[in-house]
Amino acid sequence: MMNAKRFQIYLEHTQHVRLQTLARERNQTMASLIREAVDLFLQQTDASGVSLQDPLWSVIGTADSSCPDTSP
Amino acid sequence: MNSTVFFDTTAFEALICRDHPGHAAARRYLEFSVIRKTPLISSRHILYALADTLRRRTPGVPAATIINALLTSRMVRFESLTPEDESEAWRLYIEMDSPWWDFQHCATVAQLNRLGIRNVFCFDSQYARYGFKTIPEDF
Repeated sequence: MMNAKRFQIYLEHTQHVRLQTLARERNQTMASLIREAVDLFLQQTDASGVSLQDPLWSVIGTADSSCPDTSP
Repeated sequence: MNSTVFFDTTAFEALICRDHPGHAAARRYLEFSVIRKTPLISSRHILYALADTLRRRTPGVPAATIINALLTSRMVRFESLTPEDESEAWRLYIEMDSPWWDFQHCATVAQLNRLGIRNVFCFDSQYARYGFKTIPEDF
């Protein structure tokens, strides 16, 4: 595959099982299904007018809440 | 049926704080709501409460920077409380007379009722007790 980049992701158990089942039914690899899903997500995100550059994405996971709440 | 989902302070907190127990679920829900084109809404009073929470619990993270970033988001629309919402919130506050129902909850409930919204994205069991559908369901 041209211009493919390899990286590792973790799926939840149920996601993995459902994806495996779907791959068997469609006679496709799980990797190709994941690539399809990513394309679909990106297309729909663009079509909805919501940019992946939206500031909301940029604040996700930016803090730790490990400090105890000091509210009175 | 109104499919709009309202973001509570706890939803933003879960999204922002990577060690929040609901972080993964919140992020997953946000991604799915984008795919489903679910209308997302919140309120300015929620943001100000979030600013207070961040200032208390995440020192070193500039709460104002995060709030300003959220205010410029096109994914979530931020409404303001109307004078009628505030009056209704105060009525609810007196009526509920519970330590679990602070004014912020009452203001949110008043706003949700006015907007006809029943879905609340939150990590707060109080909304379910008041009859709202809370999201994410699998958390």
